[in-house]
Amino acid sequence: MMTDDTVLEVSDLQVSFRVYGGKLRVLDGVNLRVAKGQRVGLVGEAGCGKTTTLKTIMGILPSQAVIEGGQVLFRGRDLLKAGPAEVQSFRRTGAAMIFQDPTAALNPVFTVGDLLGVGLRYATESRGKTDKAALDKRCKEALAEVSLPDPDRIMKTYPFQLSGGMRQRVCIASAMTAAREVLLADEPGTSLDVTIQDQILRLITGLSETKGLAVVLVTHSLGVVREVTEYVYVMYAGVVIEGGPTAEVFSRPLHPYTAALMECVPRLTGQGFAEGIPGRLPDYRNPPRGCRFSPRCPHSTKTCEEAKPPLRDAGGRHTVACHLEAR
Amino acid sequence: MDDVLKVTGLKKYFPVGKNMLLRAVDGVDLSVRRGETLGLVGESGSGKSTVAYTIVGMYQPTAGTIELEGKSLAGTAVKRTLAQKGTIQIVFQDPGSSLNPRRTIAQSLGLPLRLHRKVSSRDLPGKVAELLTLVGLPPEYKDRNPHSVGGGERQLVAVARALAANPTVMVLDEPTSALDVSIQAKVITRLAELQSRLGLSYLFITHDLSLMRNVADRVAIMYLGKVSELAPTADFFRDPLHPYTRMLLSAIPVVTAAEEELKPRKILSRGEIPSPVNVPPGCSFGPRCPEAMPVCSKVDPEMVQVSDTHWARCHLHGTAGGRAAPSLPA
Repeated sequence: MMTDDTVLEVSDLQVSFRVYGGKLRVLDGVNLRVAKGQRVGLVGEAGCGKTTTLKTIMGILPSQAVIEGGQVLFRGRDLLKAGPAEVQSFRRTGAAMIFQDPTAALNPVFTVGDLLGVGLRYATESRGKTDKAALDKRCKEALAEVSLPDPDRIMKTYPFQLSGGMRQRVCIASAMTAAREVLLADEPGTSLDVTIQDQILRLITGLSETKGLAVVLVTHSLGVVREVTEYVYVMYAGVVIEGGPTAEVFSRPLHPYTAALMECVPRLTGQGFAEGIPGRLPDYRNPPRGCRFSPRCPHSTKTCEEAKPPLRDAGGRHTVACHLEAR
Repeated sequence: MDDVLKVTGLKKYFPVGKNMLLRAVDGVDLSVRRGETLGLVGESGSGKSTVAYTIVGMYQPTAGTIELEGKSLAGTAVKRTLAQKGTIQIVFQDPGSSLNPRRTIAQSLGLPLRLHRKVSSRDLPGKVAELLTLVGLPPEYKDRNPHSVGGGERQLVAVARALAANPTVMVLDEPTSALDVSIQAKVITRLAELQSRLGLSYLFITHDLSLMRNVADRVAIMYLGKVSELAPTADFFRDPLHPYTRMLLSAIPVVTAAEEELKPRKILSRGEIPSPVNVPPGCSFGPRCPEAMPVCSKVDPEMVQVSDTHWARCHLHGTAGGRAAPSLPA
């Protein structure tokens, strides 16, 4: 069911990394779709390929990465086949990315004003002589938009003079200096305290609502996904194994991995939690031939070990890649 | 009450810059009872790890006393007896950096076994295997290096190393926050088993309130070097008294509607924890508090006993209902 307001779509993405003595087959079937103004979550545990997915979208994969197949469609155009000019234009006005660690994302030898200015000049393609006053004005507006107090002072500070929460706000401001359509947020609150994370997530939600900004929120926290997003994709070992409206996935998880993961989350009700999922992520050098979760799955059958389950429609915009659900 | 570990008036200041002090811990009273888990929660910069490090003797306290089984302990570990050092052990957040990467697991476990339990070289392999089995790891792991086992298993090796010294009190400093939830669940379950089997007392430090709800018997919450609320876990979550506790609880992302109902009405979190170098006058939470009164910016509230077991450091509970208590929570 495709609607016209799709901004970004990833289909059957496969990415490998060349390493000494072989190849890591990391992404093997990532499918996601984001509509205008929609907040979409991409949730999974460490090492499942969430960040690799975002980096592929932005075209910033390291040189040892190989894109084996699939498409990244921005407004219907395949970015993986596009020329450098089109990719640049996508980064200028199409999408911006914010990273998990704002300290590493901000160059420590420049002031916030310099950092925002460079980003804005890149986004607006203004080379050579620029109207410094207009540039500064726009940067200050961006800082005010992310509720940083006293933008004039912040412009002159270096990143180390700010707290973690303020640094992350600067990163978001930098993404917001130019009008963009998609915000790729990679664990934006993870390195922050829960009260600060709450403020950052409210800010992102607010920007998405007021500006019609599409958001892809990558996180390992099921709680964050539930509070912020409308639609969620669950990843395991480089594969999107389930997708659905957030409320629906939380009340009726279909994939055994999603269900098991939910059981592991400590609850505020103090009801205790499951003993964890036995085993660990497969070795990407030699991943299971069939379903990548099959070695850890309690319901695994011979079919699961041999054939990769396709992503199928489970009704109500809910999709799942599991042989069990094929009944 | 049978307190295994009792901390009174603990302060730890660090000198920074010119004539300035970073008040990391600024008057903490805590006690850990035999066989219980005391949860210590706080945001980064609240001083919870400094409390842990001071208890195990990594820092010399600026003021205050630490008592183990009723006996006062020297400030730093070098001045403590071997038995005292063995009785309090610590597990750090990141087993990747707390375990020596160049030693095999058997070597890491062997040293404390020889030192604290006087195990002879002949008995050592057997004891190492016993210890690994105790924490639920296969004995074959003994010849592996820390990096060749998974994150959760590596943390269990760190737990085994602490147990090698035969402790009664374990200080667990964010033992699972570097791990994925599916792995965390396994480590937590194992820690709970070990506690009941060996009769251990835990001081469990974390920033994760949902986790705390499931592991702690009592919870103490820290803000800017002080304990702001202390209560049995069920009371703490049913009836949070301090506005900071309520703000924290309302900011936690949860996964079920049932949990949503337990959260206090949405209090929009605002501001950030101030610098411990420049502590605001009066109540340190005052500038962020939605219920701040004029008195809050002038007078630092005392810890007040609001009910038999529930303590809070807040002017809201200072006059009405509560009675001022000068000494340590019982």
